[in-house]
Amino acid sequence: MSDGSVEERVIKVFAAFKKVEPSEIKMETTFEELGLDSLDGLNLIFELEEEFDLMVPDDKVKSMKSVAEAVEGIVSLLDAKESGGDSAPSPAVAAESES
Amino acid sequence: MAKKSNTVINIEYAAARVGLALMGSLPRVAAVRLGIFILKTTSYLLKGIRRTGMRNLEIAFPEKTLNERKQILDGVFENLGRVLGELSQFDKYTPADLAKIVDFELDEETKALYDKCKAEGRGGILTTGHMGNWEMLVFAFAALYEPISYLARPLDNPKIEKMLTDFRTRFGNTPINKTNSAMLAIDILRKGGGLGILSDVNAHPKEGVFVPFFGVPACTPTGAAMIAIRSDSFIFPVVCVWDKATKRYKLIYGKLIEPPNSGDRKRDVVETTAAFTLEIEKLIRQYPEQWMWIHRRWKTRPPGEPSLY
Repeated sequence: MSDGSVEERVIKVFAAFKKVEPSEIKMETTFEELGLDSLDGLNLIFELEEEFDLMVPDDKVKSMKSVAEAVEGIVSLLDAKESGGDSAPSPAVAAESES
Repeated sequence: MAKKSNTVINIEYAAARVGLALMGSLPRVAAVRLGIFILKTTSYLLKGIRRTGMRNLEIAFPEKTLNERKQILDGVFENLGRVLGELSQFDKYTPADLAKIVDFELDEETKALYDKCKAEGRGGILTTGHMGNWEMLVFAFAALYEPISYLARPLDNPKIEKMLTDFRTRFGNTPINKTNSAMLAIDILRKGGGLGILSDVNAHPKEGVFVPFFGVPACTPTGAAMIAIRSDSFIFPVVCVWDKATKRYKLIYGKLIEPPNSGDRKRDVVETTAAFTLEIEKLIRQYPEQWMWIHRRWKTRPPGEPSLY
């Protein structure tokens, strides 16, 4: 797992995906501004799930339209995971983290 | 790509509308013959497109003679003419008409597998290609079996896009905009629905992965694989080809693909994409003259590799 705050790690994932410097990604940047279509978005969700070892449910995915909303979504899922909620990693991510 | 002006949009639309209306006023056989005549004649004026087609065929079939490749390429334009001719009839067809010209039977083993997946409430992704009559595939499937949704990027001419969408959705199909609605596609699949995706085109590096296609790495869209993995849907590689012997359309298809769950998502996406691409290649090898060889399928190259065109 990478070091840094959730915000930094989310920005790092976005930056790696867009092949730009993390400094170019702002919290208020929307997916649209990044030129991401819905399939890119899906790809990013895969990356975020891998980075944070959790599963992002469909309703959360739909609510993520900006970097800030992605951070917010991940934070709430991590909180739920810590308190034993339903944010267990998907089988794929779970299998990966066991290996 | 620059946005088209309203003038260009209207001129293109008027030409398409009038052309299709004229062809549509003919009986089906005449419309198809006219479509074939137009496309075959025009093809000789489109030198660059023919050059691309011949280059693709050289890449895919190095063992074939120049003459054999030319014959395949002529068949491509004949096939596109047939697609055009049939499309002009789409607003006239009834399910009974379609039943006379399409044969969408599955073999017993495939049907049993397909039915099993559907009975389990799982969605199915029809990964198809620009082969045979892909418009007829979704159109007739909806008329004779069940409506499906299809994922597509809208054309840059909204009026032509609407005209085509009206044709495609006459029997209940639902278009899903690829640019902003992948989650809608996932919703449909999670409810056991069907989704058609054209998955045989060159992809931009950020939208695809390199998998073998006729033995040469081809950047292939990963959308179908990602959606299948996310929604636990099976993938059914299928195309609708014209059978000259029976003078009917028929389905040819590959094996059903279960997306893997290895724990390594990236690898799963590549493997799934490679699996359905291989199945599509096998289908193309059966009817090479019905695939769209005029598209630069190997345009995107792995870093450091020179262009193949």
